[in-house]
Amino acid sequence: MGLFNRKPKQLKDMSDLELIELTKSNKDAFGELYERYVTKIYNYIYYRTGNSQDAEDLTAKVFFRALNHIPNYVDQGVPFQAWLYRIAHNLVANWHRDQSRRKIISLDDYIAHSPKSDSPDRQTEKREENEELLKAIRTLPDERQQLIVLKFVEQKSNAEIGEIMGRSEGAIKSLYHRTLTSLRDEIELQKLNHRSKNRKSGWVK
Amino acid sequence: MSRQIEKQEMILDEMTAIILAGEDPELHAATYQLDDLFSPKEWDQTLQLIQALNHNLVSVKLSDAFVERLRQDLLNDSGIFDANNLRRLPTHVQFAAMFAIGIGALLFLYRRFGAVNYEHDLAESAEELLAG
Repeated sequence: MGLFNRKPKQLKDMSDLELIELTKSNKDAFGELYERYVTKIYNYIYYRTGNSQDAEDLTAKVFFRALNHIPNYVDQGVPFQAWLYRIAHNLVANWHRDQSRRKIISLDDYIAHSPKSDSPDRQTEKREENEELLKAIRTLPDERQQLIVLKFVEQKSNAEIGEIMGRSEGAIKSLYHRTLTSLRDEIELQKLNHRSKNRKSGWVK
Repeated sequence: MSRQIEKQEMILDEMTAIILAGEDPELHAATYQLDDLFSPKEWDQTLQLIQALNHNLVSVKLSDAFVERLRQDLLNDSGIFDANNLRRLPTHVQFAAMFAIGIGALLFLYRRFGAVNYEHDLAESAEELLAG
């Protein structure tokens, strides 16, 4: 009796692998995978491109590419999200290649996720701090930018980042150390340049 | 030297985990022998950097409208000739596509009806000439 009353498993309760298998006969299964990962992929692309319009376009491309290639997906022990991040990484790399100039995060975008309780002065200060930091991050090589976004925005462990980037946990730890050092040096350099610019404009007056 | 780098890597990794967990890094820093590994300036700057990264790199919320529209596009995707594909193109490409379609339609209409009228006018003129 229990056997006949058993309810079919809900999509929400299924593992990624079960959903991937089901996608071949049921498109709604892909819808569930999409809902699980769309925000993560968008965030990753948003911080790598610096603007919401391109982030939306590239997010759409990632999921269309995933949908088209999912019938050929083979489980090699790497999580499905690592596969999605790799598609996103490749598309972002192509996007950077196509860009003649790099854009900085827009004011509107920044204010959209700034805490409302801050005073306008504090918001301006925070925006400048944020822009300087993002500018410094974008001077880093691709893989270091990827590491920073995965660690701080997605809050992934070294093991998870290793799976996504195809490296060992130890290699991620070393890369993170080198990334922090070069980012720290870059920010110091920016501060020095900023100070010397201010000094020069002071002399002109 | 490499032992020292390994220790630096381990400490920075642990401090990052502490900051990400919202705990006070200074409390934990006291448990490490930092003097041999970092200069005070280096340590302060690195800690400030990790805190700035944690503070500024926040998760961005996607608009519900975008999530829903893309979901619909994905689940209703019927191939390359689907009109929804147009919506995913950059705005200037959408304008160019609409412009090309418009020009194409005008050319078609002109060839179809304009040419007929022209032939009709020619025939009328010829008849008038012959009658005259």
